[in-house]
Amino acid sequence: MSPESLIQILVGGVAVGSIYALIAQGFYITHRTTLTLNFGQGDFLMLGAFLGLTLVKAGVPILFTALIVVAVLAALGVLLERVAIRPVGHLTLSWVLTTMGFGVIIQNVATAFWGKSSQSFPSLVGGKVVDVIRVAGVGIVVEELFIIIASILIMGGYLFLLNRTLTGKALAAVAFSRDTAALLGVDVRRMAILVYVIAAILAAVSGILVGPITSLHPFMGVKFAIKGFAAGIMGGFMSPVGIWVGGILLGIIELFSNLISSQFGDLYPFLIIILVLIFRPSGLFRDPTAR
Amino acid sequence: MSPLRPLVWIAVVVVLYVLPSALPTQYFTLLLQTAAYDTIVVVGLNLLVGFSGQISLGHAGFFAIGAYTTSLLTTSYGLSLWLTLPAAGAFAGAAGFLLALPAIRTKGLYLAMITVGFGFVVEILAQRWVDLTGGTMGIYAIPQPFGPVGYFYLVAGVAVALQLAMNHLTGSLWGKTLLALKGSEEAAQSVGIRVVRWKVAAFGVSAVYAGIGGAFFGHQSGYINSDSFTFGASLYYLVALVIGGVGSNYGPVVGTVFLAFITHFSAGLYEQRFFLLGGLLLFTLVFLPDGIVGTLEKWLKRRRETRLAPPEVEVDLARVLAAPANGHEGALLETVELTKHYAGVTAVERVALTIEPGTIHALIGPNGAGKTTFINLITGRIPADRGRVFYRGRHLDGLATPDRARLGIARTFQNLQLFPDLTVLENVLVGFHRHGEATLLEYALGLPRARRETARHTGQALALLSFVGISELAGLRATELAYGHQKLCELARALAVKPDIILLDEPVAGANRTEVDRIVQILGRLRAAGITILLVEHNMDFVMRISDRVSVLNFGEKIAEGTPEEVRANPQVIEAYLGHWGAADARR
Repeated sequence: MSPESLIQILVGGVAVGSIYALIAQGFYITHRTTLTLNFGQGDFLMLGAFLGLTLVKAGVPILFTALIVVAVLAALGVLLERVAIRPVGHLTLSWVLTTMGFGVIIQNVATAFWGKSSQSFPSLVGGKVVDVIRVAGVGIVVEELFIIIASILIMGGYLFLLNRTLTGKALAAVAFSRDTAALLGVDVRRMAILVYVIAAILAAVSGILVGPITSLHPFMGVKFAIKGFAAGIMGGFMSPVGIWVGGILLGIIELFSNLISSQFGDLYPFLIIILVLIFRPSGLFRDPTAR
Repeated sequence: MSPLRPLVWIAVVVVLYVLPSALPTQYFTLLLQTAAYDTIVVVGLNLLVGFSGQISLGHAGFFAIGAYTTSLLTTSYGLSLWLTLPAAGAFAGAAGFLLALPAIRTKGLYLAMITVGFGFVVEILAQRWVDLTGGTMGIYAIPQPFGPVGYFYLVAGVAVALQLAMNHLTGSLWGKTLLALKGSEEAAQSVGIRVVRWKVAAFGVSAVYAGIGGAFFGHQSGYINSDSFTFGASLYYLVALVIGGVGSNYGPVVGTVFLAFITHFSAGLYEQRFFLLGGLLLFTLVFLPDGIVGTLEKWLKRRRETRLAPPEVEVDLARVLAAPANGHEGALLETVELTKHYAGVTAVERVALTIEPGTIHALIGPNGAGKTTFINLITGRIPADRGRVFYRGRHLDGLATPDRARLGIARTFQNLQLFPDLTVLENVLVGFHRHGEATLLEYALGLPRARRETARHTGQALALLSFVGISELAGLRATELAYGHQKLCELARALAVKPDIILLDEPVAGANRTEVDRIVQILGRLRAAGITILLVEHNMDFVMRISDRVSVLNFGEKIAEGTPEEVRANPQVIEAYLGHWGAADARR
């Protein structure tokens, strides 16, 4: 393998891994605050991608498209919290099934609107999805570069919200102790809605970002969800930055495994996910006794 | 068993017999076949979700393994259906076992995700391992025996048999054991239940059912391909279970039949099968969390509950509590240099304690002195940093809580840990866990030894309840009892272990004077029956009244030991309890 193609694969892996990391941030922030998460997060992503596709095709500029999709999914995040999380609580695993049911409804609606066959998304940066630019003599796919830059910006905003704002501190307080936070005047319910909105927005953005480098179909969500979850696990599910690293690692592993075997390339990431979940549920980089 | 039971089953057989001819077209016969094998899968799933409290989002994987096993064995090797059906169950069961063995230690969400991953692995293999599975082209010319109606009879017959076996299992001590560990793993371990094994077993049995269901799918249309074994299929089974009622015996069949017909009538096409699923799932979980059957059962039970008559049992404690012979002379339990630190905090520091057989030994000390930690070290709930526990002269290194319980070390909990899904009687029944001899198969088939064992333990459990004075409450759910009664129930459950030593963590906390008197009396009789007691307690009156020996812990260290009188007069003890301006210096 030439050094150039090695770099190209790495960039591709970082791009797709950044998407996994964004999904995982949605899992992380909801689970930390509410002890639940959206099993249908992948379906939110799918819906974001399809909505984005429709708007872009209708000639809406990409920035407006993104704003509209974010608004729609944010509203859906509120709805999800109301109908699938709040009524069942976090004590049993019912929320796994209710959020999944919500996701299946989204799948059904998507099937009704967009059909079952795969569709492709135009480039977000203009031109063709496969266009490359030369960086230090190496051809890099512009689309992937765009994903990486966009995800860095989103992560920046996300980290700022978590670490530098009063809202972020309130979220941390709820994560530490719901009761104490409530006593101190934090509106725990509003925080629960907020984290689901944030997760939905992350799904919306990642849906639009991932659109051009994947094929869209209504059932694409589950694979993204489980890979996002795996990214979170690999990063230890403790810090947003660790999760980011975990996602990128998973993305790189995935692209290399496709290179090794075109027949079973899809299989290896799942095997790795299972192995990590079983043997390192506390994360790749953490003390295994923490489990 | 109600005398009507055989009649009901005869009616079931008759209905199943006439069903295919009662419905208008052959299409419905196929639908019935589908409902029948899906029922098998969901019955198995119910064991996993409803009884052992785990979740599988990858059951389509086991279903696929069953389908491919029978399809390949019949087409490539020409084996008979009667061989390949059990083989399908066995292969799927083996897969379930191999997956669960490492995976079961992870909990809840993690296990759910592992099963999702497993489902994908099987799906991808089915799709890409074309040499074996035919991929999306599939496998053709799988035998389709007996014609459509005959095949329905076969599938329905097996479904009924497997339902009956499952009824036996879940209704027996076996099912109660699973419900127990679902309710409280810690308490389950304290009566000797090896939780990991039981969960793996439940997972394996559940996979066997899914494999058999998949095998029948393989022979249904004579053709299978990789498109049938998706994540959506796994979800379908969960939805059927939730709609029918998680944890109720007939929830699976009701849910499956309901779902089969509603999806087919609403769309008519196989491809549309998954439509509506999400809405149904969400609706049921939010508005009818017990499902159809579960809700009905609850309603019926409420009307029946008053029936239970208080049993009058003459208690021969010595007979009920007769534990295996104790060959050891000398101290029953001994700790040497036992030490536990938590992130810089000393919980237990080099504690040496000797407990003589047949005595009541109290462990007292101010809050945070390390008393509960000490009990947890003895039962193996937490590992010691240093030091050892000797029991009948043997050290307990490397033995987990269930193993120690099996040696005769029982306990109660400071924060009550009853099994919420079980009745008071069943809570105690599960306590006899280590004395069970009948196997899983005997319980599934309802064989005499399993039944005799259950009857014997039921009698002994009633005797124990009557001994602690709450036998009239035997039929209530454990969580419905008043606090004091819950404590007595826990005590009876611990006694069912037939322990040599019982560790009581604050037995009279929150009890009123009458209740304390009763517990004093109970403990006195236990001592007379030869049972050794180590108790942690704050109620000094109680401790001084009943104990043969008292040890005092303060900041993890043993500061005094002796008879109640000696301890009461010890200046260090007084200082530990009442404080002293120099206390901090004295500790250093």
